[in-house]
Amino acid sequence: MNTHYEKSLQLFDRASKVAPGGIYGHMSPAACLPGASPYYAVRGEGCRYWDVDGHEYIDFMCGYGPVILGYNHPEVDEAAAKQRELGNCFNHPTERFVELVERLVSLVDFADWGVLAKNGGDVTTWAIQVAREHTKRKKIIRLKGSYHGVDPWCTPGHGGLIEEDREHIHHFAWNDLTAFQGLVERYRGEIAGLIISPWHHPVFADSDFGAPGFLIGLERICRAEGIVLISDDIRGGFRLNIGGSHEEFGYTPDIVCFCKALGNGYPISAALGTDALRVAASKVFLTGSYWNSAVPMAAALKTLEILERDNVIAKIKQTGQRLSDGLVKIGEKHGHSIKPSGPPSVPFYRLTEEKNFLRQQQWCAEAMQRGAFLHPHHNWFICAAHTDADIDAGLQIADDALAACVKQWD
Amino acid sequence: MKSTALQHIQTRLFLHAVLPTLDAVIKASPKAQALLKDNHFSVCFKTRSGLSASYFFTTGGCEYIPGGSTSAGIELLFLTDGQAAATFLEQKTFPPLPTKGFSALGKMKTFVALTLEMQAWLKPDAAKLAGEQFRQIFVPMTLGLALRAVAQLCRSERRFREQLAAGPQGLAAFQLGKDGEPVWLRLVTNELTCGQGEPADTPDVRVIFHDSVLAAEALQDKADALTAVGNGAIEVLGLVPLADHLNAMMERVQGYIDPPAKQ
Repeated sequence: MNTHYEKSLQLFDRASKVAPGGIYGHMSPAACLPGASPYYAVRGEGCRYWDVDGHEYIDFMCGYGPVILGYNHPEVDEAAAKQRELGNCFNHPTERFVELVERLVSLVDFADWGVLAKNGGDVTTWAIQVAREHTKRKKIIRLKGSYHGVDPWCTPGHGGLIEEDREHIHHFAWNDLTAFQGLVERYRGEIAGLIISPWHHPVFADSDFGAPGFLIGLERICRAEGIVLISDDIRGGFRLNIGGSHEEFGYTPDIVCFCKALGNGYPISAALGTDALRVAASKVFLTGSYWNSAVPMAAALKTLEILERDNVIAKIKQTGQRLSDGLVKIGEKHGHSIKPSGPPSVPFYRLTEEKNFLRQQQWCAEAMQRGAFLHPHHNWFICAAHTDADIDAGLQIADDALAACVKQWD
Repeated sequence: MKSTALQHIQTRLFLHAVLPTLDAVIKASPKAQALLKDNHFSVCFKTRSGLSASYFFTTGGCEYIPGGSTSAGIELLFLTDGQAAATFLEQKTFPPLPTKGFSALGKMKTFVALTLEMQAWLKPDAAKLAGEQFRQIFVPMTLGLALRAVAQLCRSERRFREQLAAGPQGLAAFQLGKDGEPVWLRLVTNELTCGQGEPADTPDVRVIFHDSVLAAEALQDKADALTAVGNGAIEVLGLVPLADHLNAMMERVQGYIDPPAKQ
């Protein structure tokens, strides 16, 4: 193992004695670069963070998405601190709840109501229940390779599942409208909901936009068949369009789910829906010990305010494009094609010469060792704190890392 | 799943995944070699449903030939898959019909003794597992069985075929130690092959067990594999989801060849 990450490994050793897997879920070392990446963070600031071994990273993952304005954003933290002084967890929601739902409903074009929770999976799972309640149907259609959380109907894991968990969950491939039509014909009158992402962002594969007519085609079929269309905008929400990524891609869902960027790191998620689903939504029980916590709501209100005030979405698109252009040039310089895919502010990069990610893993490991956190398998995230200078510094590291790899490969 | 379908799959697994393990057992076990000294024989198992496999035993190992072989000395026919499955699962049933090699039927005692020896290798007690030398054989032997079983299930079981179609595909190699001989499986629709030794193509994912204790535990579903990957005891290089996908399939194999007892 790499001594560069000695303290990370020591902590992991301690953790694995008391926690199954040591670190679980998407942050497990097994999902990134075991032994060749940091395992534990200490602090962050702007677009940078420091690990337990004292290494500084220009971060291109932003906490896997939640950090859109930068770590420890002073205005967001101040809003959160102000609310914390008043209190966080009560017997009731606070006015922040009403303010935030009102704000979200005003931002999302089709929305008439909203609910708040903590994580993305809270609201995607709740949304499919609302679809079932509204339609009195059982089946849910989703896309192959999509991610919607860790509940039994959708978890990418395989432990603890029984066949009945997914008896009524069916898949089709991204951009295969005919396959969706086929499912609809096969299960006509049985399909409660279709859950999609605004663009396809699987791990270990290029991101993919909807082909012309695909997303609107899905919407049209859903309307004709009485199927509730759910847009899982957990990953892209507020990075592409303040009103939801569906606006960017030209379709209108019945429910949209947000999380990640909504609170700039404070735990909060939301689902917003149409008036037609209001009664069904009122019948599907939702709650959690901390779902009404006021501090994350105050943070979310401030985050939304800054996103609009500072024109953050346009800025991170531009920043992401600078990164993309730079990486493509670096690839060309070293004779290795680096392919960008997905939106510039939520991009995925891949060395096109291989499909097994071995070189990609080496390249990202070299970059991490030099101070840029580049994920080899998952899409990256750009935040407002990335300046042109940060991007250029990140590109220099990516360049040096690839040069070191090429020496080994050639 | 209907019991007839289950029995068909179980029979297929025993014929094409479990019994071929006898080759590794004979190569590793002096006891098995002694059983075969001056006692070479061959047997072909057939079922009326069309399954068949032949095994040619020598002190050097067991050559497995999928499908019936006319040169096998003994031929035994199972009238139903249920009868075959019960026989291989050591449940009460009537014996198969000999259709060839009546005079050599006494050799089947050796076959039974060999399968008992195979069981001792595949389901070792703690004392056996404590030996490094034993684990060096046990790990690839068990891995080879599991990979053959996955390939068979992907060919024959609807849910496995669906799982295969839904997940990542490619060539996966598993090995004990950096220089260990890999066992591999090409998990691609319509191309399910497995084997031992370095595959001709570069694997899409390579799983290296750096510790034989952990590898044995992992194969018996007794290891925290996530931790092992994190601390480097298991190295997964390349297309990680393919290894994860395969692992999920391998875990389901056990339910067929060693089903849990009903309460």
